[in-house]
Amino acid sequence: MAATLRHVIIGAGTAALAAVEAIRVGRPADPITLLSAEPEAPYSPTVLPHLLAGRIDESRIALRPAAFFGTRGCRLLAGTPAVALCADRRVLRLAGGGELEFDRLLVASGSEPIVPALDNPDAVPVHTFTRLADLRVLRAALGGTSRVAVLGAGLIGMELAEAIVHRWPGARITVVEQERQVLPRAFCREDARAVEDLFESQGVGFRLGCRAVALGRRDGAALLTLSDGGCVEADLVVACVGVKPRLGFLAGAGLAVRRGIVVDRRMATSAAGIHAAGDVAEGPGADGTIGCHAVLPTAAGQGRVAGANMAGRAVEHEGWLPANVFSFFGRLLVSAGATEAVGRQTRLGQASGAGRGRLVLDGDRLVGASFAGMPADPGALCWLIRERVPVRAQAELLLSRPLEAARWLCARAQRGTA
Amino acid sequence: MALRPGPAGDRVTAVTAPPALRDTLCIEWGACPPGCRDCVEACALARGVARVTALDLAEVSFHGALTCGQCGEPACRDACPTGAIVREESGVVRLDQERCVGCGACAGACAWGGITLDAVTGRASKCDTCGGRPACALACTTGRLRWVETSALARRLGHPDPFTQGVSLCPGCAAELGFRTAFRAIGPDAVVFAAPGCACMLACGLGTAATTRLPSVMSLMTNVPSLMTGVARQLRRSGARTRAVAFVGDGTTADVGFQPLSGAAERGEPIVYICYDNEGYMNTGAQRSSTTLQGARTMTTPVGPGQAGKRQVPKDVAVLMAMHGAAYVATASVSHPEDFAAKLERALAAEDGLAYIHLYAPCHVGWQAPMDAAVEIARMAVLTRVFPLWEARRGRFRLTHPIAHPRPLGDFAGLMGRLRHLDEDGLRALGRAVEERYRRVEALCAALPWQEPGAAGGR
Ligand SMILES: Cc1cc2nc3c(=O)[nH]c(=O)nc-3n(C[C@H](O)[C@H](O)[C@H](O)COP(=O)(O)OP(=O)(O)OC[C@H]3O[C@@H](n4cnc5c(N)ncnc54)[C@H](O)[C@@H]3O)c2cc1C
Ligand code: SF4
Repeated sequence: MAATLRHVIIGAGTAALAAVEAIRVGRPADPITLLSAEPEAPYSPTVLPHLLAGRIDESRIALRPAAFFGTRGCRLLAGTPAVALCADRRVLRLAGGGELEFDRLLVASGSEPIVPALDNPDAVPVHTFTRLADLRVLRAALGGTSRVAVLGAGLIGMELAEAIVHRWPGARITVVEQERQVLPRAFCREDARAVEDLFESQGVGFRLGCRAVALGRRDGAALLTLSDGGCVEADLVVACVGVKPRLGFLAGAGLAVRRGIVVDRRMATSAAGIHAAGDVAEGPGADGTIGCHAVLPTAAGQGRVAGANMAGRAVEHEGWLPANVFSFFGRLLVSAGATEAVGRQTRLGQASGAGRGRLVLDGDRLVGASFAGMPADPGALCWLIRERVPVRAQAELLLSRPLEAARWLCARAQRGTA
Repeated sequence: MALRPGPAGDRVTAVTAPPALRDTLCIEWGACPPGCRDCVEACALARGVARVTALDLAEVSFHGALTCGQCGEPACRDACPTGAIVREESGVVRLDQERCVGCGACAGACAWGGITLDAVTGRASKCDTCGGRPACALACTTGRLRWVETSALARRLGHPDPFTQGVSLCPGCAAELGFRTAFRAIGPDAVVFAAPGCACMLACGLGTAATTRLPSVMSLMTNVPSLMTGVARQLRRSGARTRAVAFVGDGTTADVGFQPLSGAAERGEPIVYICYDNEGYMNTGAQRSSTTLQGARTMTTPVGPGQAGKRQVPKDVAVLMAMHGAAYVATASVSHPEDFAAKLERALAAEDGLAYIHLYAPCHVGWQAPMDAAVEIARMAVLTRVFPLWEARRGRFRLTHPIAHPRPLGDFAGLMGRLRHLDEDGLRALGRAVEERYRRVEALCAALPWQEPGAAGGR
């Protein structure tokens, strides 16, 4: 085994911890130091809506038990953000003035919320919802009959709306979305319509196809002006218009950055010995597209690949694939890959009773699938898409029994049996 | 040829624990009776939500079941945002329902159909093997879904791996696997004897840095048992319990060095002699030996107009050794490690004479098969009756793995290039020889049945 390598990981979230496991597979004795920007035990922002909804409390969200770091031989510096990186000297500067030397560095600092540009921005506070500190503010401000304006009907906005309805059924929520549908990147127009119906039946209002343009104040409440001329009055405004990689501390470090830190399939950045993974990384997708892809399975997979390469094993990431799982008001929504057919692709759909399913096929192959209100397996669907498994002959079966059929097709291909 | 201590452990800076062998659910792929949901119902009854999926797809005439494979590096765990999924020491990947928020990331990360998000409960669920008594396996009456206890094997192979880091044999070598298995069962209180052949690279680290941690002796091919006799007697005289163990090939055993082996068995020397049989002289280019299978192509038994591989049937050295009335004789295969480990235990217990184990260890290079094929070939050799597994104590026999319904011989022959030239006639002829050998062992078991130690018949 080569000489000991000092590993430093910026972040202690999903990507970071997956990297720790992968480093330890081959390098039991290398020192590993993890940094997190927040004082709390490492947690995932995914839990925030569930905390708000009261489905779980803060005592059960630690990504790993405290003892984990000791038994894995890692040092966790919680509440110690990195503030600057000197890539050639292989030194990381920490808040408070400390420095850390490293042989291998992983940047896994996650993402930060995008704040929308609004006229008169200081009229009322605009909240975001990506860290525990945000949750505490919202929880204190929300009450039984709060009026809430949620900007953005993506993953975070919809989860926030659902959580508020769950906890405060009397709250009046308006979701503003510039696209003409909710969850635009996850579902096609018709599927999204069904989701909108579901939310509307719970009292959530939508203002689709228009943007918030200005903030104002009326009778102590926020007054939001929309691009269609309408307005929304609210006690609380929460911007959920997307996230962007958190890489402010990398200014001047010399790493190639576009939207996120540019990485190859091994999660290597442009600087030797430095890797990036998770929300902060801009890497290859399964179809070759380069981009940032901020969901947990991608963060975990990229973290695992980064860790393996930091440990000296040449491992490549299979490429991210758009995939979403939602469970709204007891209804399961699953989508993977493309939502619409383009060019010569075909789209098959089926609706029966409460359930609906859609497949997008390119020749024999599946390139996209979505199911609502019926059991489905997102991991199996992703695998079929990624591995280009021919499925056309079983399309009917996939639509009528998605869970079993996808699992059967996967397992059959994985085993190489007919 | 002095005894040479193995290199001290200090050369190894840090040792990774070998991955824990664990008990596991074994589901025969697509072999379930149509419409059967016994496992699913039992699981649902025991655990609320079924964690095994029935793939009962009449539309495509497929009937099977699927559940979590308890990954070594579980993707579901890595994706879980609440730390609800943990891989335990035992190898079980457990989901704590109390922490699950139902986000479904685990199901998006798992490509094996192991974990399901249930919209009604709002939680994911996955198999955790019911603490070692899985309800599904107890309910399955067809034997297609079984609980296989590999932890028993892990206990049997409780000693550390015998090698320092790195090994100089071909990747995928069954002899290496056999060596590791043998000494994880035997333990460190042994002196290893080797002779020219592939395994001497393992035993004595010839030409490389990697070797065993055990003291080892490099012998000639012609005199392994003689050398062992001297060392074993001296060890005994000095009061040590250290055992003399040979790990040598079929060339040394069956051909070049058979005479001293016969002598040591007849004299009752308390040595343990393991022959790893790869059916030829493999580190010199795959020439035939007297144990090479009939019909096999080797460098010296070519296939052409005048000849189709080896003409003779293999010499059954294990039967010959049993006929010496040796204290203990067994056949074993790298594909059946539990059986092998149990036989090693009995070989070590037979301190009143020679113990001989004939270990089937296919050489994928010499047998012209892919790098990952050796264990599967060995398994097929057992399932097709090509290599019967049996044992004998003082000439009293029993089959340890009777094969009531042998697989067709083609399932074995098709796995390797050395038999590919056999046409139907050739396969039939080989099949007759295989049957005859199997029946001979069966007949020996019937005529001279096994006796437990202590029962009458000991010497
Ligand atoms: C409200 C919400 C709901 C979500 N729901 C889902 C969902 O249902 N399913 C899904 O798949 N994904 C969901 N996501 C996305 C998912 O949480 C992220 O993709 C994932 O957490 C990214 O993991 P990561 O390791 O890249 O970053 P994170 O898990 O965010 O970890 C970043 C780490 O970096 C640390 N850090 C940041 N800056 C510094 C610094 N300068 N120095 C040191 N440490 C630093 C932080 O303290 C933290 O430990 C959701 C996100 C949000 C915000
Ligand atoms: S649920 Fe899937 S990923 Fe998790 S251990 Fe089981 S098979 Fe592996």
